[in-house]
Amino acid sequence: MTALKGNRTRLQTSTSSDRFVYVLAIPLAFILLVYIVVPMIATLLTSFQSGGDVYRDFTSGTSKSALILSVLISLGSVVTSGIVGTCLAVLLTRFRFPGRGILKIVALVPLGLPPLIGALSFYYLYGSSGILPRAIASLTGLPAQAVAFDGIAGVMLVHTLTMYPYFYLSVSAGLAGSDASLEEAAMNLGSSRARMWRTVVLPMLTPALVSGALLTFMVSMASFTAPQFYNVNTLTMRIVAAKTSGNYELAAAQSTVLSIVSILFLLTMRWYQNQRSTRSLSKGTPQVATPLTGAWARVAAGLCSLLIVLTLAAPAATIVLLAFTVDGTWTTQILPPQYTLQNFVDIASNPRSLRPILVSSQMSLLAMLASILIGVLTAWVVARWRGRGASVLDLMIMLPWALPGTVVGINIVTAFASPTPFNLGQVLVGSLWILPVAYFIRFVPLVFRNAAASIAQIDPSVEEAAQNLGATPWRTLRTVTLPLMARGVIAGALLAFIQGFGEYVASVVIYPARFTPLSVEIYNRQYANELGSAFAYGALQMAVILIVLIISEVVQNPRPHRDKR
Amino acid sequence: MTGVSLTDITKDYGSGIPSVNSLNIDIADGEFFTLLGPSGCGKSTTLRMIAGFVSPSSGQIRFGDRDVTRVAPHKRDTGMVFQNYALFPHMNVATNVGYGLTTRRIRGDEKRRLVAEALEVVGLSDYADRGIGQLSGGQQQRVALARALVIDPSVLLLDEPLSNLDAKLREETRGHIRRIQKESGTTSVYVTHDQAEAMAMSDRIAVLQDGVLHQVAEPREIYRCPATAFVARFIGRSNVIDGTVEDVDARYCTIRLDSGGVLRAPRAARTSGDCPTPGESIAVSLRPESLAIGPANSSDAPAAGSLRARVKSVEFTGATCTVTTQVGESEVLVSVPDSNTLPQQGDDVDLTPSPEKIWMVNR
Repeated sequence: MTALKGNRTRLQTSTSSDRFVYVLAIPLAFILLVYIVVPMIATLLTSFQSGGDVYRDFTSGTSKSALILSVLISLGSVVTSGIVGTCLAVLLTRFRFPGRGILKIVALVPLGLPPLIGALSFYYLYGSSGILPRAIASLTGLPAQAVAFDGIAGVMLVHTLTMYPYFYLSVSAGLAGSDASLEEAAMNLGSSRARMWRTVVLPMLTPALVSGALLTFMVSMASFTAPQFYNVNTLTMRIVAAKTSGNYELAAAQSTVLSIVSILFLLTMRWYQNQRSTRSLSKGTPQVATPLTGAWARVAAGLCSLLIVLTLAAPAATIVLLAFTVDGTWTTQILPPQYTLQNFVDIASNPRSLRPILVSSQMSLLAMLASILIGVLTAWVVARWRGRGASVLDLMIMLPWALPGTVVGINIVTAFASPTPFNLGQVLVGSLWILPVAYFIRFVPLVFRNAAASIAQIDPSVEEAAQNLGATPWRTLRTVTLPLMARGVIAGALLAFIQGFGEYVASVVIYPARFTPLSVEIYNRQYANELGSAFAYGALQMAVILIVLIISEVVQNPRPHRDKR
Repeated sequence: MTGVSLTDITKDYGSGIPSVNSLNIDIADGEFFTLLGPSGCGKSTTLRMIAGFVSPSSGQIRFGDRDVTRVAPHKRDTGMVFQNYALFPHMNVATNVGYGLTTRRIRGDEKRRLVAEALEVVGLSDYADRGIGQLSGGQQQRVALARALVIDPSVLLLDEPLSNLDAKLREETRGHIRRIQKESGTTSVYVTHDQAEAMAMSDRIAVLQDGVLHQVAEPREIYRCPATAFVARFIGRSNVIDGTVEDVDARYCTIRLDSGGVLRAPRAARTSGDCPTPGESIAVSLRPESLAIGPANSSDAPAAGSLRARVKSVEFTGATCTVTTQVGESEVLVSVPDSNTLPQQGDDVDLTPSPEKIWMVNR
């Protein structure tokens, strides 16, 4: 057969790099299928084991009220964190005032709070037995309960002060990227400052506000630690309660409903972002922050920013303070009465106390390595595959990002409980391996997204140049693409590592008895009234997060202009 | 060293309109061959098919006797200079240039010697340890050239390599590229939309429009003897006027222009060599500098072989002046040396083409 004849029949033809993409895509799709998609289906099937009767709980039982409560709390969190985040963003991008520099740094502190210990610190700061209510009670004589944040109010407070960064970051980026000349044009055409904000700035911020709102809603729906401490019966709480009481079917049904809600939000978010992707960012006149003038205005602004800084930094400070208390000594006093270094000495010297740290760090490291391998290769395949398969892979790997940790836990428990062909005969329940698998599933989207962002910045012709110079597709990936992605990938992987290191929500559902992860150990210690020890772990967690964030910052923005090779 | 031949190459991305349509080109060994055309004409697609980044929907590509139609890009042994240079940002100059040698298992002293040689040829010997970000656009362009040449490729491919340089550097560099190519004798395929660049550098030029090949010829021939109205308009400036063949005698054929007037062209003045037949629709190409301009004679009709026109504007452009005139419906440009006796706006003039410079083109 001549080449000519053979080719005439084909319209779409593939080149060798296309084939390389397919060769990689198949094993990746297989792994994502086994660890992400099949567990979701397993949960769905479990919920229908007796014909789906358990779903009746959503029309009459506790599931119904739990779902409604979850949705209401999430909507409320969107509003409150939206207001706090947007105000902070406007203040910090548009005005110059005393204390702005420190406020800018402190505004990001909530991102550095470990999820479990963060919520716990709010409980001991604002709850009915917390520092502030007790202080107010002793000053004013009011009962502490009257001024405390408890129950739903407590959950809302935790949500607001930990989730406003989603708004703060997106609105800041939107404000900083907007073109000052547009606002000047509006004012030049005779609109007042207020009208200009309403008709020009707010519409431009809509994408930032919408994505902040969707993200906050998703995270709120998934929230588990805050409801647990304040004993608020959200859907996530009901799932864990059902699982603990052995009612796997109900837990699966509740997980399925929560998954559907979350995935719908993920899809809405992607759809919305695609709609907006053509929006051009004009590089017009840069924005300048307005300095506040006048002595009184500056003093007032300085005091306000001091107050905000104190509020935002208080949870972290509380964690550090409580880390030094002697276990069991803080009863009804405003502040803990006795302090010691013993909690840290104990962690370092007692192998039993050190063990949770080792378990969490090692399992998280394993999960990070797997996430790098799968996340990076998938990002490459998605970027280079010119077919519909790319978006399927993209969706598959991003699914766990939408899923609440509780649901991921339930999914794994249902899928890997007994050997089936679909889980390749793996039984993970009760084994140590269930932890890295869970962390991998939860945090591979982080690595994937960072890797995808890095690839988007690589000019495809650089890869072509390598092939043109005789490099095979694999060699091109190894010597050109991967080195160029390295910085973004390392940053994403470090983030995945700290998330895994502090992971609580899925861990508490799945952890094997002999291997307590760090966050579960913190919970247990707090439960046993060993507050000092619990918070000492928390302080160490914060230190790890801080160190990793600094490393990540250095990796992404190295000081010297260019390193020589 | 090898020639390149494209046989019946078609590339259809599935839209129904092929990006490249039944292209047949034979590039000789050692030739500097240019694919010229406006953006979207398929020239880059053709180059990328030669490099192997795009597979033709049908047809065959050969390097010498070797059929490379289905060969992967990394096995084709071509050296490509990309429009944006595509230098590896994480490697320094020497590592970039040496990359193709490493993939060819040339290492150690041999590699160092070849890299040093290549950098010397492009005048960047002192820059071997620099990072890519520390180079100017022109220097990056030369690194890209060195990287493509150091592997001594069978075919050198250049995809608008000068388009990101400023005007002065562009002229300098095109002379440089041409000199290096002549010294190495590498078969080269050059893609550009700049006809002046193509004329200055090429042994032969292929003019493409909408994926269709209009003409392949040496620069001078392309200019003097355009095959089609498109080529006449695209290469240099030309007045292309539609008309109908009225009469053909032993030496000349008479053409009545749609916009009025009659011209006589040598009957062989046609790229295909086919003799026009009476009644045939055709167009004539008149270069602005081949038209003589003079005051209209007093009679109503111009002399035989001349066109009556009215001056619309006169534009001073330096050594020459461009006179824009109206002949019937058509606008005709005339280029004349600057003098004090130029016609004025509104004057009636007679335009007389020198008969041997009239060229008949297909519409």
